[in-house]
Amino acid sequence: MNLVHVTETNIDWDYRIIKQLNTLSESSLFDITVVCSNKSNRGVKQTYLDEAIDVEYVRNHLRNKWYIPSYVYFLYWFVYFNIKVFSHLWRICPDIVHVHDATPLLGVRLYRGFNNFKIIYDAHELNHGRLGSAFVNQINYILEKFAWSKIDVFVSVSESIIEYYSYRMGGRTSSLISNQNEYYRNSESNSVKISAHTKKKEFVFVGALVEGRSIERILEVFAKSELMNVSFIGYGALSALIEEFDKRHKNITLVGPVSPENLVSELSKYDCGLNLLEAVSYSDYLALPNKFYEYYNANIPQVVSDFPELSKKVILNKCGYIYDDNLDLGDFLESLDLSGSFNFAPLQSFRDELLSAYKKL
Amino acid sequence: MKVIHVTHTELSRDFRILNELRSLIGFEGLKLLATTADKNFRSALPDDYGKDLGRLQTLRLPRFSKMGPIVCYVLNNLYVCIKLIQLRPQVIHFHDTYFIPGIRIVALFLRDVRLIYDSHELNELRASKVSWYPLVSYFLERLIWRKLHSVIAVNKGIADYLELRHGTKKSIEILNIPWGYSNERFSRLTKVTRTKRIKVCFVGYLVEGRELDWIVDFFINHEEFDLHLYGSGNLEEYLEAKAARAENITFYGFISPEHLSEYLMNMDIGLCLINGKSYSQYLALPNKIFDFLSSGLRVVSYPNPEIVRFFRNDNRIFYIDKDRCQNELLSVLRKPIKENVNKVKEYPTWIEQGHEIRNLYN
Repeated sequence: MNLVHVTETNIDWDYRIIKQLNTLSESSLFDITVVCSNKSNRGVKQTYLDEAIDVEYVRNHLRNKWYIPSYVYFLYWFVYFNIKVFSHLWRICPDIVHVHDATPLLGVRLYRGFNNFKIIYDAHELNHGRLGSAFVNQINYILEKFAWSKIDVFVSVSESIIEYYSYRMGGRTSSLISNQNEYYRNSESNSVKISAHTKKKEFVFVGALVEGRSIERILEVFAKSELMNVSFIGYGALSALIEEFDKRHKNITLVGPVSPENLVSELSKYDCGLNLLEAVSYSDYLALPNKFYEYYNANIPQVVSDFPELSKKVILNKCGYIYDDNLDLGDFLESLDLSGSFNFAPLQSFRDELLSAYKKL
Repeated sequence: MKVIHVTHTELSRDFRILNELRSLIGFEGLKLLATTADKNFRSALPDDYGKDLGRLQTLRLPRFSKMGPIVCYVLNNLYVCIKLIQLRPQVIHFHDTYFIPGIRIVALFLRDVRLIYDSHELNELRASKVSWYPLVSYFLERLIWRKLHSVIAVNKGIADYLELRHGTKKSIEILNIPWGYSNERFSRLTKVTRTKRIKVCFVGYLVEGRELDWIVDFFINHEEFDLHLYGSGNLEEYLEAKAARAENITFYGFISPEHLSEYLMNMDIGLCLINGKSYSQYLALPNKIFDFLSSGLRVVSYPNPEIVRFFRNDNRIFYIDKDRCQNELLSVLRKPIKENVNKVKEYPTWIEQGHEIRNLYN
């Protein structure tokens, strides 16, 4: 069966798509092609992907041309990318098209008028409620509304986002494909904890070190604390800031990036993970970040923001604490009893979730 | 201080507004008025409310309904607008979006008036027979938002949604808890079942979106449990006919809120399975859960986020998955019921909530 994954992103960095493609390739049910952008203008096939997967790059010829206004660039790329998607689909004649996020919906929906195939729409977040340009959000909303009637299965990362789309756009067969990384579940229950040596509570933050993740607040809180340590795993725009705090405070450490295969064993050395988002958009408010699963798979409890999906998961799975924004964060973290009993029973595997979505077609 | 509660509903049936007024009526220095669509408000009011709300002045809305919905809407808004300008209140506490156009005009004339928006549900994403009404609600909220002093929502999820959608405003949550229930009652331990048969109840509207179809089928097929249905709605006759051959299902019809607890005291488990047609229903924190808990029942619910968040650590609530609802309901019903010895969290009372609303008026 011919399966095409279409995404506007560069799949170099999109582990969600890479995991899906590799899992589907292993199942040997599909001949898989992925149509994606090549924003770095490299023509090299990704080494992370299974050899059997074909990659069709859409080159961005106007990238980094400083003299082109951003709105012109946006319009050009949107139209050009969708034309290329349409032409690739016309050539391949797929049985199933798996669309990632809203941008490729125009090309896919137009091609749907000429050929009968199944569409899976995979919203990596609430695309018309993201942080950023209200204009882009509105365009995404229009694209989703335009394509919605032809979508066979809707997939997203959290139940709250699925419910929101269902009520906002109309009922569709839907399925949850979470951002968990099942391959690296910590099967050792007795990892040696760093706190056995330091005699302090050891907290960890993993993920993109960017704004909107309460990183600045965490740094201020730990800078004043003598009873707790925090380590940051990852990289991003705030790495330099964290490094400054690392130099000035012994209890703050910038670990840097850790490879996916070592991440879970690294996290299991800590006492508690920090999963504090800021409600900068409704998409962030309904999100269920990858780090939830990373902490869960490492068998460490986590402190989460009081957002619907995060708090629901923690309450139902008994795997952490919910932080109320009205409380002082430092006092809250210091008062936590991390020796409490937590439940880290295996969740439904990523493979099962993905194949379950395809079975619904 | 003159405070006017503005609503297009029949006030005698709107227990949320009645409870708010009841919690405020005792404050000194507060002159309360409320609009109502009731023909005869005093006679329609339940007795205990009538005693407490003796000092409440009401403003009866005229009936323009024979002129068509749009003309009726415009005339009602004009009427309220003129009346509010005449009365010159210090605070306008308006409920939902119906009268926003009129109130927006009032804000042009009465510059110092404090506007408080009480959102009974997520109006932009609610179920509606008129498909464009939710969209109109969004624009009406947008129209008034900058002029608002504060927002009251029924739960945190709706308050957060409004803030993210329209912008930051001071907001509080006023829950739809039953009147008169203290923390002591909420903390009541669930009782041990004295009889061998588990009594399960459903309270509320007998309409679509409450999973009544499969619930009734379930109890028809499992005669070991009793189902008691309290409420009325368009599915009543259909369900009654379906359950006619089942001896373990009983219909009671509508029971007024002040008498409901007497019936619930004899029950073991309450069902709250909201699988509604709107995002507003998905975010809802149903009143009936408070009714059940304060009567010593255990509750079975879907894990809708606001329910899970609000009732965290309260182990009297059992969550079942929508996809496996029948099997999971069966296993919950077959679980032996023991007395609940864990301390439960404290829930707000109307006395506390009344103080919170009063503080917004200052």
